[in-house]
Amino acid sequence: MGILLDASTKVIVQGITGAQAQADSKFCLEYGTNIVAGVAPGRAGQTVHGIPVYDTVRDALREHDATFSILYVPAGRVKDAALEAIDGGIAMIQIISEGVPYRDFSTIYHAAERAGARVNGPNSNGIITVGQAKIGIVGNVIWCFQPGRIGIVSRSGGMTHEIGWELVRADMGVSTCVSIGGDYMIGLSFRDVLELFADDPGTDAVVMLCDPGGVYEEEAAAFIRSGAYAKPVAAYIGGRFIEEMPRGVSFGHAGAMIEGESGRPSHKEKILREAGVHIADTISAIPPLLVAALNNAALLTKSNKKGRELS
Amino acid sequence: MARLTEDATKTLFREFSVPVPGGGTVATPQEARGVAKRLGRRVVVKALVPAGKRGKSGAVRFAHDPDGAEREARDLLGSQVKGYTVAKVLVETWVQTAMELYAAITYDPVRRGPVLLVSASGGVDVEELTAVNRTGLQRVPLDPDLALSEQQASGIWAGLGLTEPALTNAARIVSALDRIFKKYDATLAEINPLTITPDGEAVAVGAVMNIDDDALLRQSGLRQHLEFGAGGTWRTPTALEQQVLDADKQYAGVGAVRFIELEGDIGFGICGGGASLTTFDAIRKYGGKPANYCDISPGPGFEYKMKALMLSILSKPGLKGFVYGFNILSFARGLIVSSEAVISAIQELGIDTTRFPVVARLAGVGEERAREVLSVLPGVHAFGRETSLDEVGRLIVELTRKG
Repeated sequence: MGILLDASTKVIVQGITGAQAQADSKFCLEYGTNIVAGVAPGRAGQTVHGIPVYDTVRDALREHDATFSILYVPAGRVKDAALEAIDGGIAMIQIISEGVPYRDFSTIYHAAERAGARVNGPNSNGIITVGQAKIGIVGNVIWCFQPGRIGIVSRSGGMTHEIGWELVRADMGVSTCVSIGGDYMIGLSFRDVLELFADDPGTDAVVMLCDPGGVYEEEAAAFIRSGAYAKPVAAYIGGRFIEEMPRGVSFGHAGAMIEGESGRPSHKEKILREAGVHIADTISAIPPLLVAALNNAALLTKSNKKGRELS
Repeated sequence: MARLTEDATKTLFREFSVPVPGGGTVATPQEARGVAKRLGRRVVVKALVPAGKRGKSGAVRFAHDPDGAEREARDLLGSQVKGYTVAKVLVETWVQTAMELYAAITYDPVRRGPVLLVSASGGVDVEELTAVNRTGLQRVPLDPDLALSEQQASGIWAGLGLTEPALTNAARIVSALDRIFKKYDATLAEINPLTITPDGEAVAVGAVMNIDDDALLRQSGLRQHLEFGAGGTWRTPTALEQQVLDADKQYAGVGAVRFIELEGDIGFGICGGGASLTTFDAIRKYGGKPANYCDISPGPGFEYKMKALMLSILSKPGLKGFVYGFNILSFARGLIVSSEAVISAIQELGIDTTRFPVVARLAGVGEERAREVLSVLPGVHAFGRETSLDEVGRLIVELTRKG
């Protein structure tokens, strides 16, 4: 059972007739994702890779039970599409679209909160529960992920394939990989996904792929320190060079902008280290860090067990 | 993020009846004299550049008379303030001050919503906005859709000790500020200082707004106010940067291409947010200096923009090597289009790739085909999935050192 998605999750694709949506949907169907319908205004009756298309979310949900929607619609229409999904009772909104205005996202997030729904993204590459289901771009390069017990949560979409591949090369596998998106404000943050991984029996350790800017790494560190998440974490922080650049300019992603003192990679590293997170210098350095951390964790459990037996 | 200069911000404020000092924007010392004469009193002369902390950079001057205004304007115009050339100055009435307040609205990423920051001890540094425990600065969460009412704003200022008539006047301004913030898709709307005069009037003496780049397409009214483009640079664009900005404008809105020129000798063509950050870090770590930063997303005009980007990167004088590519891609066209753009630029510029090191990292769907396409250039070092981005960064540094 994945933390957000598995083979039984029924998914609708909003904006399914777009090029990216069509390409990804094909990969997802081949992977085993249960895509039940697509939505594209004016295209009712068409099919995309066998998936029936409807004019509206409401029409689609009249015919199909679905709890998960992925949005590929153009940035300017994301708000309306997301609100339509929330209105229709969709519990998980996955936004692939890049360029969603702050104001629109804020409206979406608050509407979702009121409805008890979750949002992932925007500017997110999606989610993969390895061996079960995937949605979005993550996992399209199928040799990048093999099933295992490492969770991944990443601000960078593209780097998910890189870390998945490094883990494969190190004979390790992934439980779930969540691309949370590169924008300044996003739905699921590191902290939110760590919370889900904390309760996931299929995940032993987590990798965080971090960027400059924003406060989500710091929020995660505070969460870890509170004791709410206790499994090992290895983190990689990209964009160190930004500390040498003028402030207030974004690099990499919209959210990777340093303003003032917060948001600096060196600051994030310090805060994460203080929370016990293992910091990797490169993506390739992550697997050995995980192995070491997991071995230590195993030894600790062993010695705790022994201690209890003796006493 | 697109920055509005102070005069543009005040124009918008005026539309919402927010009191601002009288004055005018001028481009010559003579015009400055004219405005000062018209105002007939002590004035402030401010350089109009989209940067903060202008006071500390000496870009805010005072003058007692038209002569003084002309003098200060002459001094400021044409000078450099924080990387920008001063083309215009704002000449305004100096406002008598009894108190200085601070009010700003921005987004709180943890709440995922707008937040009002207010202080009765004004003169706050913008950078301190992000400091968590700044004393005297109150943070009030705002609704993303419903603007703050004057009544709510009154309650907030009363809590900070304001009394009438300043209380109602300041409340009116803050309520308007939220409406402005929402109407114009601002990411920051700041009044610093929000001056209370001895009579209890409230005036937005210092004002600045940043606009959400992603909302510019629906803010046609702001286009006249935005000079520095949404590409996100910290200075006037260079010639090569302008080339890429122009290419981006041809297909505006989706699939933005970015190019920022830097001081260095390694042409940098690694695209894709995370990949570009990682590889740039790697080059720096191994002792190299990228000559630029770049990024591009798939979208309309992808081929066109990619060609413009690669040509601009490779056109920079003094390059000793070039690296391009992406993270592992499922988008085969990206690998092919970028390679074709590189080949086209290399041929157009007459670069000899047997002597000028080119490293390509092309991995993912269609990587073999992309490497085939690239093989038309002799001596290029092409890598796929077996080589990490960090390693590619190390290699280009090593190769440029050798040459």
